[in-house]
Amino acid sequence: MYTHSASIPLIGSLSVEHFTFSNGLQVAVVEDPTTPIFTYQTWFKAGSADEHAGYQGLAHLFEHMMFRKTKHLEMGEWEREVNSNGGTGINAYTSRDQTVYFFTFPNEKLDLASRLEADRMSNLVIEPEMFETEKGAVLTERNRGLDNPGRYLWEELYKLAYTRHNYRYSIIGEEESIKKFSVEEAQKFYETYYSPNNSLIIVAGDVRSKNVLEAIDRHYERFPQSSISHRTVTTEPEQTENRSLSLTHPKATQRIMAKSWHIGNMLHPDYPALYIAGKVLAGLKTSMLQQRLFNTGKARNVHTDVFTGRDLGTFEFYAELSQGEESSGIESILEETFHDAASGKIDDELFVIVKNSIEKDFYSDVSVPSSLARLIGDGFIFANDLAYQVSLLKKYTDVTIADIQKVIQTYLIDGKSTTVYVSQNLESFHGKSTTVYVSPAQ
Amino acid sequence: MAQLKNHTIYYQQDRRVPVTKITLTFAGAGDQKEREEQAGLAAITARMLFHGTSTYSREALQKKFELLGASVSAETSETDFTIRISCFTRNISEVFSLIHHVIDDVNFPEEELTIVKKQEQNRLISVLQNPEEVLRMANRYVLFERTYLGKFGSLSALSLISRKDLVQFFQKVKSSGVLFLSVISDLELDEIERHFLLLTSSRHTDGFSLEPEKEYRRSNEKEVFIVHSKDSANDRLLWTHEGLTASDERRYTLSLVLDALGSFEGFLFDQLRNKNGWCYGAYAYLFPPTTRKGKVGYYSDPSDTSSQHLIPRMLELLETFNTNDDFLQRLAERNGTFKNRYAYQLDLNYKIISAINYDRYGIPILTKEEYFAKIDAVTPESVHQLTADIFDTTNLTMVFYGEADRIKNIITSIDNSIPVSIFDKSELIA
Repeated sequence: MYTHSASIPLIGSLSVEHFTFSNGLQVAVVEDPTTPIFTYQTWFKAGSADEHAGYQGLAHLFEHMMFRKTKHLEMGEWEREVNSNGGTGINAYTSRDQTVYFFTFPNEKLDLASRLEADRMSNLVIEPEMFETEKGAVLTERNRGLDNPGRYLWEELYKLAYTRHNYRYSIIGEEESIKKFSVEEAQKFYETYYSPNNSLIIVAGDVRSKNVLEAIDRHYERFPQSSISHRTVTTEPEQTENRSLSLTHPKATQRIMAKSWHIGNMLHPDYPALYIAGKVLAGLKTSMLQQRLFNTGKARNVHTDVFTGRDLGTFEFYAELSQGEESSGIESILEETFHDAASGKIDDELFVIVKNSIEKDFYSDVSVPSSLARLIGDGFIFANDLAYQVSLLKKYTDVTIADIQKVIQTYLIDGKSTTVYVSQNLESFHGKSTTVYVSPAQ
Repeated sequence: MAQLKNHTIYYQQDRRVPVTKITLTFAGAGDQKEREEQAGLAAITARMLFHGTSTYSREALQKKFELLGASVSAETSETDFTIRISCFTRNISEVFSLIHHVIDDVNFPEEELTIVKKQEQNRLISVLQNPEEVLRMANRYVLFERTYLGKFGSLSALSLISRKDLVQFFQKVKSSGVLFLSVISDLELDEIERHFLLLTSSRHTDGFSLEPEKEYRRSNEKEVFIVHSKDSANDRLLWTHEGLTASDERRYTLSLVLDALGSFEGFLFDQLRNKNGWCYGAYAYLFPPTTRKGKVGYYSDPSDTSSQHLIPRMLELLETFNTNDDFLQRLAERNGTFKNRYAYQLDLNYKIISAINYDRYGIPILTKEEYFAKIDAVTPESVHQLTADIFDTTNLTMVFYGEADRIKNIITSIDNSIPVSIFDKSELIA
């Protein structure tokens, strides 16, 4: 049994149809017959932020186990069923607030896709030997990631920016914790979070809602609800000092830096203005920091962005420094640019350009089923509202230059930033060799 | 290749969104037209294309495009110089006019070139910190006989590139013998044709001409090349041997074999990752044939401690897979896999690429029935014949990224007659 919860119009004849089953399972369907295929995604409200102290990496390791064995399918058979039926793009990712599983199938395989996903959502078998083998693969994946100076930098930035909230933890986990996880812990994680009332299924492409609902009713309806152990949100104390850390990485052929400031989550009324501020500052070729840092040859891969988790968020800046440039010079330009933007020195035409880019991003998202699914899924995870991301579009167009001024003055201020530098040797950044730098503000 | 026709439009209509996506391809005007002492010239020319005309500065030009809701970029591949445009359909007329102006009037300002060369220098240094990219390029470098064509670029050549070089190079790009357009738009084809005419009506075609691509190096024995990296927690390997030509009818058999052997649920992944946890990935795939013969590649990323187990086991599997029951079972399932995948060939982008590949390399576009017949024609006999013909591990080019002495010791313990060359990753940008 299900109810039709909402219809979310997108563009033309495209819309998202939202349904809720009696066991709490939510389903979103987008009928788009352009190509005779569909994407099938399962979103769980469970990520690394749901782990407890000492259990870092369990959500991600568990994600790997979902590709192994069920009561009905031996190891490898699940993937073979997908593959032999023309399924492609089988993959998953674990983030701080969510874990997402996805694949794409030809249009006549809807029932099969639904059966296969339902099977592992309810009938997973975690065998000890398999679990230990998968730890080896995860440790290899972790080392591969840390081989990359950029990945290393972001992990360290989050550890420094968050002092209490679970967002400080590495998603893939630490070697020690990965090695010690038991099958029982993984099983408990599965039973706690992988239930119908903690998940959303998104089917987008050449499908009909009626057929999707029938398939889901057939394969998921009998799954019982579980009592979700909701995360205890630890309040992150207000940051009252600049924090900075200089690190070395043997592969850092170029010096890189990232900086962040705390902001609220996606539901916060300032979020739309912060999002637009990110675009005005560095999101486009003509953005202020692109003109001042990239187009002058001082830095490359310059970007500003907002990370918003379910609980909290950060506004982030990243740059790779050119040979001969000092980090202090880059930071001066950053500060000057923030000051200019906060004073309202934002080109009116740049504002038009930013709005153009948002309209275009939306068209791009709705014409690619996997991108559209992400738009819907993010609304489910971060706002508990499938229409939220679409509704933000209107809010983005209402943002004014005065709103941008206000959020820069409120959030992107000296004395509340966290900065991490990575280079091959510390001298190249600061001319000193100590490892941790904390600004005088502390 | 000779079938590519000048001023062809490859078009698919998509009415869902009011956006037009265009790629202008100056075929035969890519990196292959550089001389060694000018390595990187084509890429720099492309990067400078939107950095100013005699009328507009870089900033003014970028702003004009962005105000029209247009994203524009230019890039080169080994063979082609391409301009990519994505814009609101409502502004397409102005965008085409502006592109026409840029092509006709680009002036590659000296001061912009200085900055772009600095950015390129930074890019070259930066890319060396990415092990996957270094492995991919090291393999290409080896396959191109360790010449400039296989490098990320060249710091020394970059410093010598002048504005005059760019002007001369682009003069030949814009008058290349073949320019074609691929487009996905909500507009009708005749409207696209009308806009394209603006670029083609008085275009010269005496510039760069289409040429075959340089052949990959052929290995006549097992050979090892190691890009030394002393601090990697993970090793990476990419091994290759001969593949097929673009029009070889055995390509369907090869596709099925590679899928059974090296996909995400293939035989190698199962043996090396699922059963042993030695690596994160283990794949086999095709280096697609173009005007040159393709290659078959194998990739894995064992940890520094599991390399000693994975390398000999992977070699053993490549020598014996075609008689292994598990592999043969996986292969038998591929008939259904490939037939079921036919739906993806109806994707708009896929249709455009297929049409270009037909004109360029003679790869036929098949109806569903013809495609199914090709898949049904893959039999145990054709597989046996193909594996005997090309899966030849005695002629394997083996490229590694990792700690050289350790990897060399593993290779020597397998067969001490295998020649081993070691080079530093800095060679890839020298």
